[in-house]
Amino acid sequence: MTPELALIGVLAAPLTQAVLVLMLARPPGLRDVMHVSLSLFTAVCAARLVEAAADGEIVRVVLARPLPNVDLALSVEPLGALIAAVAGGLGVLHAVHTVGLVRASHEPAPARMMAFLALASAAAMAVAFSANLFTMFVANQALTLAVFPLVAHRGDEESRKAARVFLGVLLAASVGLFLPAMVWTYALVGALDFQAGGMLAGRVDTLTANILLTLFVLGLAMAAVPPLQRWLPASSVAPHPALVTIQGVAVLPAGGVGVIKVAAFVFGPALHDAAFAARGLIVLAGLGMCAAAVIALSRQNLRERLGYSCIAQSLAVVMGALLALPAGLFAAALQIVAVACAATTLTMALGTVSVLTARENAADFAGLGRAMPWTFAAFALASASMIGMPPFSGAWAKLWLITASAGAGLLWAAALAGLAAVLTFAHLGPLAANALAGEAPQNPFVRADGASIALVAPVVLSGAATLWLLLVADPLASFLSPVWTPP
Amino acid sequence: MSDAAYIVGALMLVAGVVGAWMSANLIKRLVGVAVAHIGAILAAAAVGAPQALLIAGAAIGLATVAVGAAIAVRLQEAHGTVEAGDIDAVDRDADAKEKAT
Amino acid sequence: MSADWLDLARLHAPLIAILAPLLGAAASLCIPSPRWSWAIGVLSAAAGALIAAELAVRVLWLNETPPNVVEGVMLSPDGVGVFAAALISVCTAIALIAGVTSSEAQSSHFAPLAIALALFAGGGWIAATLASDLILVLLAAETAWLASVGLLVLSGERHAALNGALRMLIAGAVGSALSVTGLALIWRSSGDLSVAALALAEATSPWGEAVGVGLVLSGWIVKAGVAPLGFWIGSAFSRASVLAALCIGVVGIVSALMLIARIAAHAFAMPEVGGGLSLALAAIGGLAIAAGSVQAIGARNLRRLAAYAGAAQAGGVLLCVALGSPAGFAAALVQTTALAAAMLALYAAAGAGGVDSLDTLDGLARRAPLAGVAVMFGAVSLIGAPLTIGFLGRWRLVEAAVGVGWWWAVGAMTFASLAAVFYAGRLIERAYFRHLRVAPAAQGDGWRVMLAPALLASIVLVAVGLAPGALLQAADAAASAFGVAP
Repeated sequence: MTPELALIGVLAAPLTQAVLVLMLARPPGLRDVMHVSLSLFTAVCAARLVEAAADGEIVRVVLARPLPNVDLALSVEPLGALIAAVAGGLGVLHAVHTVGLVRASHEPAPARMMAFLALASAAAMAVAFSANLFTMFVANQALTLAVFPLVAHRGDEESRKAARVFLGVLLAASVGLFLPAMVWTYALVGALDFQAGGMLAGRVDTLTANILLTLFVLGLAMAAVPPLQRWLPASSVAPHPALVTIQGVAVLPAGGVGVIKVAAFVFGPALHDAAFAARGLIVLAGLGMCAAAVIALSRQNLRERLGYSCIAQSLAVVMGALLALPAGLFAAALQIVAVACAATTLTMALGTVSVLTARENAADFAGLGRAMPWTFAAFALASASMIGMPPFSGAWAKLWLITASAGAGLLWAAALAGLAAVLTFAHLGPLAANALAGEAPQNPFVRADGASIALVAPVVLSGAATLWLLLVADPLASFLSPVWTPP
Repeated sequence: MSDAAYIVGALMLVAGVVGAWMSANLIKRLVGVAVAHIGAILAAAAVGAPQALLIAGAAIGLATVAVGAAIAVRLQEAHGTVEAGDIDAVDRDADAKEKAT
Repeated sequence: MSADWLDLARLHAPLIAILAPLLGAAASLCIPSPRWSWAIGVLSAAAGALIAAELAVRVLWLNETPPNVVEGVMLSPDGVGVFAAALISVCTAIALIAGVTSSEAQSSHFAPLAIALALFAGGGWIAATLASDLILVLLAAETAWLASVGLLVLSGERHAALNGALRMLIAGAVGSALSVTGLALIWRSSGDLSVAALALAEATSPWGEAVGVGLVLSGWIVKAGVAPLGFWIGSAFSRASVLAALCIGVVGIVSALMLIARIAAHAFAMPEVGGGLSLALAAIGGLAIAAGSVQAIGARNLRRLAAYAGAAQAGGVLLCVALGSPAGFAAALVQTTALAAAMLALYAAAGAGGVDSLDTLDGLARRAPLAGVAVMFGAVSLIGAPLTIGFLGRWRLVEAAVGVGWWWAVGAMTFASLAAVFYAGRLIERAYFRHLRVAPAAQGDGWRVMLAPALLASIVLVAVGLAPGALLQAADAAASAFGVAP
């Protein structure tokens, strides 16, 4: 497979998947085979692109030329390839889990849900591989529109209201903040193509740089920087597979990739010109991180608790990206990978538990680990990674983040990140411990047949994935180095 | 002389426009339109505009007022009033009724 | 032999583009059967559209000089005029196809009259965009306006639309009185009323010329329904038939905007006129965006919502014109095309789906999937989502505006898009994510053909958004001769 084909493949495969899943909605067997096998194909394409990025190949595909001087184009660079590969790999597990879940839970309109999951994955891939700001803008909007029906899936008044918040915040931020910033950048540079070393470097004065950075980072509301984080807690009413997509494999990673790409490819060294805004945003991210972790502690419903927890994690990405240091960018990239693995595990585990035992409140989890040892083992691993306990992947990301903050002379940022880790421990640690150590409840299962393998295996595998950064942190640093090294 | 006609024309135009815009009575509105048009033509004649413009202006004004009068007559037949407020109220009621059914 | 005739037709293309709908109007009026009358009307409108489009291709893509033939009445097609004539005649033809196939129009024994009036309005507007003399422009535009009022009178049951028609008539009449005065002022300062002379006028008093042009344009700004001068559109649209909504809301508004662009394009060549005109148009455009958006957010009736949204878009077109540069005029042409396509999609789909209040839009995607698609594309383009022609129009405006340092125009466009997210997003949400709660209006008994124009417009919205090269080239060519480069 040539890299160009693979690049078209990561986009075309999920789109085909959406169409096929809808067309083959009944019988479910064929539908599920299509859903999983095309997810697998997407992951293979993404893996091929990692190889291409490692070889330093220049791969670029132009899809359309909607404006003079501006293409709708995809290109391969290490950061996008890495995130796409992680999201693709987790996407396969997610697909298997979704199949198991819709069979066990009798979710209404499963084919429609799977189709929109596939569309969301296509849009997330497009964000990761976007070659310029315009493509990223389009892909962000596509992702928002693809996830919107997932949030509204149940169709009752509550979920429709949540979906409106989701759509309103994300679209308004992207049109009201990101788009003007993009136009401004175009007016300054005359082009929108990402380039290592920053397209704004040397072309922008201090005031403009500060305003632009603020507009860009807040405009990428998918990164959940306060005050534009409301869409994430609102979307916690969505069905479980949608939660995985939002918090684990598509929406939050897309927000993180967007911020890193803006920091590295739009600003680069120009980030020093925007030091004031960057500092302000880091404060915002740090305080938001701690506040989200505290709010998570106050939530008994695990959907909401995980939502706030993920906000805290995602803000660490923003903090790392804005430090204006290679180490910060590396920390941010690691953090995206770590959060994707951990959040996917946690949300999938929550889905498994919820569908098998109908329990979603923290208090009801005590002792469930005795009944579902595998699921809760993975849950504990992922929680440890979210907290940042060594040797799980979250620890490496946190370590680099704290080192980079200290390196940038922002000890208070390092302190805020540490405090957030402690607070995360407070809202996830006891939960996992209680589930494993507590007394096993009588007859926890609402279904007589117990868990199917499709509900447990993906959770276990993605939980195990939180360990892999341990092995590859060093090769990853050299793989990602083109992101912060100008050509 | 032509200056005076010009000023009178301009004043008629303003008065007519204000009348057509502000008046609540449909007939008064139409009269406003007519006054505005006559004012406009007077002003045009005062500056020595070509005959074609004067004739065009007169034709437009005449046609507009004629069509307007016809519509006003039909409205009077339908609603028994030529007050804009009353007719709007009837329309609003009809909308509300339509929604209710 | 036939090649000779074809050449002759090409030579006189502007005249034929005007005459085809007018003759069609006469013919369809003579035929009592609504169906046959409709067929003749559509044929003549399509013939006119073909001729006008061919003329546009020759002039704008192949760079031929427009034919300048003495036709008894003087026509002088310039770039903007040729572009406008093509756009208006295509819109007229599509409006006829979409508007008359609805059951309400067929059942009425006024159908032939309505068809004739629609054709007459189209022909009048085309004549106005091609005429060489300002008096002729005024006359043609006013006849088209009166025909549109007549069309509105005929729509609806009994006396439903009369109130709106009278408001529309009075608004237009006020506008025409202002235009006549404006022409008188232009005459006084330059002694010449031909369109081309606006550009080279050696005015004795530039101030009088500027006010004159301003008054002439204000007449058409009222007719374009641009808020805050478009106070007539709300009452006119809520009870209009599909045909009337299409002819007033698409053909009429597009034509009035095109006339403004054409006259302004000529007048901007005079620096004394340009400055004040630019300021006034920009102010009205900005106001229109604000007022139209707010009104659209509050609207409860789909046609009203579309009309207010159109008024907000028209404000954007005025902003483009206010720039006074070739890039600005080109952007105005692109935005007007975007407005036309989005409005066609919305009105035609609403007509085909039997939608009138927003409540009846609920679940449209399930009842009438194709109409739902058209509503969605129309709404998405109104929002200015990327990869649609709506985005293209705004991008061109912003590009041109930033080029001369008009940063506030970026803010205005952003506001327009944000407001559109609310009002147009609501359309999509209702059509796709809700179930019908009230009984739909008459629906399903129109001809299936009626959906074709809506779908065609949707395809144009996206296809041009993806590959805009041809449209941009045409708009640039049309506008290249005008205005002052910054």
